[in-house]
Amino acid sequence: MEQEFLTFVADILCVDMNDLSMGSKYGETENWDSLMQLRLVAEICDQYGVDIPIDEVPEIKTLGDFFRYVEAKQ
Amino acid sequence: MKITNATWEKRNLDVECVEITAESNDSVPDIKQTIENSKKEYLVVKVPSKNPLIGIAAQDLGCRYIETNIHLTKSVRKKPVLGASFQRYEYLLSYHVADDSELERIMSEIGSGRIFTTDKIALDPRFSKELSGRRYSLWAEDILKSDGKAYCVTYQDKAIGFIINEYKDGYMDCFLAALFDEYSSSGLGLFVIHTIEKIAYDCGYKKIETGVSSNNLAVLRLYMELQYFISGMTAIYIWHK
Repeated sequence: MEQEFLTFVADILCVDMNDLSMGSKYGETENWDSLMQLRLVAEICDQYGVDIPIDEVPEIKTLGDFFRYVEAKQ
Repeated sequence: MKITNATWEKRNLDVECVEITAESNDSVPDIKQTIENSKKEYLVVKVPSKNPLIGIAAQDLGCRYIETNIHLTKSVRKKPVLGASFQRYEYLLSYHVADDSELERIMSEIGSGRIFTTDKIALDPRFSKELSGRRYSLWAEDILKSDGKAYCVTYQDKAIGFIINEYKDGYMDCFLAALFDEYSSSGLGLFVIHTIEKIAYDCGYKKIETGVSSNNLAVLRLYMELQYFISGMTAIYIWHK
């Protein structure tokens, strides 16, 4: 599940999946900037059917933070 | 070329500043002579991207490259809407003219030096982010005293950012647009930039002009996402006494 999630995110960020981990951080990971943050929210919501309220987005700092929404839905 | 005694920088930065704006047909010897004659305390040389030889000449005379101003424009022909991925947020977005207390907050945020950290003043080791904040704050005051207007951008009725526009003959010039500091890492910058276009549309302006520093790739990407057109680029070189 984690690997599939990282592959999905790597496609969106246009980076090698091997460069990503659950600890990868916003602002420090290649191509993960402000615009990509919002795109990740939208794409993850669509792909996994989760709801990520926008006012919680400032608290999302790592891919692990995103993944918790996915896990909670499973 | 145009030579300007930038007297406002004495107030903003406490330096005597001369600005040389090169044009693409200027000759290198003329520019070199003007640069030599203009070296006082702080010199800014603006070079259009079409003439890199002028930039080389400026560097030969001790000027240093600090940024490129990327000029952006967009025509506003229909009601702006976010792209498909982000349309679900559109109805939660709004804006209004800033009231006095909001304006106070906006000026405080600009002056803090925490928001605008990528321009030629913020990144110059001889200046600082704080000085850049002060400069933008004084500049914004001037704009608001003339024909400028400040807006708050809201998402779900919470103020997430602000925009300060100037209204020119036939177009709207976006002077500043930013998220409030507490939302600085939120990814909501796209909503603020999108709102610039909504304001232009609502006010009946058919064209927006704005600019972004080459040191600010994240914001440039936001404008590109919203289909702004790069109308020009100006390399900026600086010299200090």
